[in-house]
Amino acid sequence: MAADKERELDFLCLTLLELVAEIHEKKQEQEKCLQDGFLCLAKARYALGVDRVSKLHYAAEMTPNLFVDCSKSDGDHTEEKWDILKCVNSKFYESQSQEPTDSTELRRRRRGSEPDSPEDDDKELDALLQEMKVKEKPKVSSTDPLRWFAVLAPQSLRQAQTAFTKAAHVSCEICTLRNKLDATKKRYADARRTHEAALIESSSKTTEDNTAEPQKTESTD
Amino acid sequence: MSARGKLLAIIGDEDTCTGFLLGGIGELNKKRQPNFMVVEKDTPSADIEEQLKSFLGRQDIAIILISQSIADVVRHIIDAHNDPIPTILEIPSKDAPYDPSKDSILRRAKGMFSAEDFR
Repeated sequence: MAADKERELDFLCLTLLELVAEIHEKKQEQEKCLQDGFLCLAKARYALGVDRVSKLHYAAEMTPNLFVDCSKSDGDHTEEKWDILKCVNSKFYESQSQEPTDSTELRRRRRGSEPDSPEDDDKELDALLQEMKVKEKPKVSSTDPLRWFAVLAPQSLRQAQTAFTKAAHVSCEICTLRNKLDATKKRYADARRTHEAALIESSSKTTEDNTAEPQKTESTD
Repeated sequence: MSARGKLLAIIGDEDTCTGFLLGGIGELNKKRQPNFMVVEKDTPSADIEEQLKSFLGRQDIAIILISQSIADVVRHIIDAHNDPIPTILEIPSKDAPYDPSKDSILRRAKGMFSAEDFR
């Protein structure tokens, strides 16, 4: 029993140290993303002008594209649960709210006396859809913050956007790891407390047994 | 109306705020309350404290990003905050690189173990 508790304490110790190392690594990754982002912003300012990329050009109305999805970790009822924070974009919630409809399917008309097989029709349709996807170019949406600063945003500004988006994702990961660290710390403290209480109880029992034995030997004499 | 998640808030210098707003975290809600604050050199510390407390009181914010140099000004509020959500995360700024000795997560981790624990 005591050995099991000690093993559990060792496991929790190692888990804590691993989590700290992981957090440190993620922090360094975040710093690198931010440094890249600042450098790209400086390049964009050089290209567009100092005042073009500043708070003077923030939009009067802003709608976020990045959100934080909060959920609880899996595990027993005995284990301490922590909050998992995940960075998602607005499409994540749009896709969840959309109900499946059949109106997006194209209607196919029967041609001639001999009806085509459904498989051939499907193949043609798939090929047509593939062609359409290739021809579509990525468009800047109206809620894209790139539009605040320039109609034709330079590559450096797009790169800055990518770097800061990645920094936001890494920030969410760091927060999740921190919550996990706090939960593990609490579990370690609880396990340590029970282990110490068990040790004190067992040591008091052995002292009682030791004092009882001389009394027995005296009575037999 | 589809459900949506919570927001990231940012308290930092102009470049930091511009960068994260470019990333798409910015919001101006119906009450014209932003989820960001641009801190200048002459911004009073009382304003920063008030804004941080306002972010901590909002139910729609999950993470508050704050530059490490600005976090030193409101350290007492950050150390007193223990709730998991909203969580306060210190980030490096352009002028001050990441300093692990000042990071609140790693400072708390330092005090996790004592010599007694390894006896």
